[in-house]
Amino acid sequence: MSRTSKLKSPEEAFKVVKPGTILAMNSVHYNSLPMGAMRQLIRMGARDLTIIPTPSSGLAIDLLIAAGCVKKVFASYVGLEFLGLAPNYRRAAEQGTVEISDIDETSIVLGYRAAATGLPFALLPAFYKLTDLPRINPSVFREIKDPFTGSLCYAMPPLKPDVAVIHVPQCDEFGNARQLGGHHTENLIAKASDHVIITTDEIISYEETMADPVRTTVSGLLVDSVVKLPYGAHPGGCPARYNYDEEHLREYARLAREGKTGEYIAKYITGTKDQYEYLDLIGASRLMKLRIY
Amino acid sequence: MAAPHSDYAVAELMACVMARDFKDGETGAMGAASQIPRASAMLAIAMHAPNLNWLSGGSGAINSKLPYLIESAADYRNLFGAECRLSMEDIVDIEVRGRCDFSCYGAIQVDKRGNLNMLAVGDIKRPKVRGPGSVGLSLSAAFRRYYIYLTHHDPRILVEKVDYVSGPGFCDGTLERDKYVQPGAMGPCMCVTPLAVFDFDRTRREMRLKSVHPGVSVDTLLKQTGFKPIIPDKVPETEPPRPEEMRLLREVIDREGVLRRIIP
Repeated sequence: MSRTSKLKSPEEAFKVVKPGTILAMNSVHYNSLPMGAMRQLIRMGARDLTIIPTPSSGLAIDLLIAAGCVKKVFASYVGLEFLGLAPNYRRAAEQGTVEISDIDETSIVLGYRAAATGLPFALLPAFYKLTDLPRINPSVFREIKDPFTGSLCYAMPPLKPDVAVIHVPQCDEFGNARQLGGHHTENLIAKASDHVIITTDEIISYEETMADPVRTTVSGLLVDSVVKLPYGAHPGGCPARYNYDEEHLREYARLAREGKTGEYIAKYITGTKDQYEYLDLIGASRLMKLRIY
Repeated sequence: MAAPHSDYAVAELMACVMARDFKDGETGAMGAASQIPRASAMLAIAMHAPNLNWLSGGSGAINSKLPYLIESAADYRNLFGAECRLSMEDIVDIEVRGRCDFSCYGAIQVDKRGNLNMLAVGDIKRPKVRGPGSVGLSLSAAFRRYYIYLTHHDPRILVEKVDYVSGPGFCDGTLERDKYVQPGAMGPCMCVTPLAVFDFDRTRREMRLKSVHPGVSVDTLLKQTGFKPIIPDKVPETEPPRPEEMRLLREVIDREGVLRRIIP
């Protein structure tokens, strides 16, 4: 009997994302963003999602909010980094149309870590008392007493996503994934989540994985589905493969600021049936210019 | 804004001010969109601090040698010439534990006690401006000290009291703060803006004007500041970039002129 491949079509893999799903993704600035996956979720009409992102995030959440997919965001940083605030996120927050649970970098990492280990809660240092986070978000930050010293610290519930979507440059059909650049809690998110979908620019052979196992950064034993999405991080960049598409990002930011993200979505997402049509629309010469090698 | 100067850009001056304050052997942490402080780190290493270590938070690069300033801190290219790639979890461990001597922060509001707000202006339930979120700002209570750098000097940013605290400075000015910070966390040490440099009076725990940039008067500065800082009897001019600092910035660190574009 042969081993079962985890390779799936986007439609098949993303069926697990249902209304109300708690969704996590690697989304640090413009680095290895699962944008192909986000486009697919929008095409499939995802809604009422709760998003738990990476410590920094922006484009993916801003786009999902504009497409009406989001009910709640655990927010540490949601912005467009060098392109300023995230306009759709900002509007949704200011108008109260999306629920925001304010957390931060340390609590996101330790919250994921608690879920990854299966602990009942994460333990945070006393300095949170000096911030407004416990006051504005008492459902997450609770004062507790260190049972050994009696001093103050904070507890928070584990951050436990139903589904994680992680984009990488390379992955084999059994889900052994290689992140070639910075590690932005992908492995932690995979361990914390109930169901893990890897989207990958390239499918590598299992032989390639076996020949160099120390390069695997997310083990296939944590992974449920593998989806091939070439240029799946575009308009973000993918480490060692292609840079972010600054011109496209500026177009997005401009439309978003002008309240015209709907036009962007109609043109690039609902106006294309899949990742390949999207790439046709972007154009080969543009994509080739972004290549790092 | 300080009057445009033919010899240097304001962002270059700001980079020099922070660089001169970084000490040899220290470890500094840099966050997102941090072109000015990372220019400072590279300048300090070249000028007087060859043993300065610096982390590029988003990419996890330790001591990146990338020979130009890059827009995104998470960019893979930051790993060029680095000596280690730490994961984001590792970076959090190192920072929370209190191993970093300093970090450099911006914010949507900063007050006279060095408290930082990245959450919201107005009521957070229906904010006037929703900020991006607290990210790593609570770690201001874990770094030994921190610098504040602002690309705009505006009374809406430099306020008497922040609407929300993301990064605690000297809090309300009482000693209560000291009970909750990580051991050794001394609080804010400097605030650099396009108009001036502030330090902090450690007894009163308040911001104090240290110098105004060439061409800026104290009056102009006060009109642009939403609180009254401590003003010493004599307010000197900020020392302009030295020739060697300018050579390093323009020929080695920032050949593409990113700093000149941020604040001319």
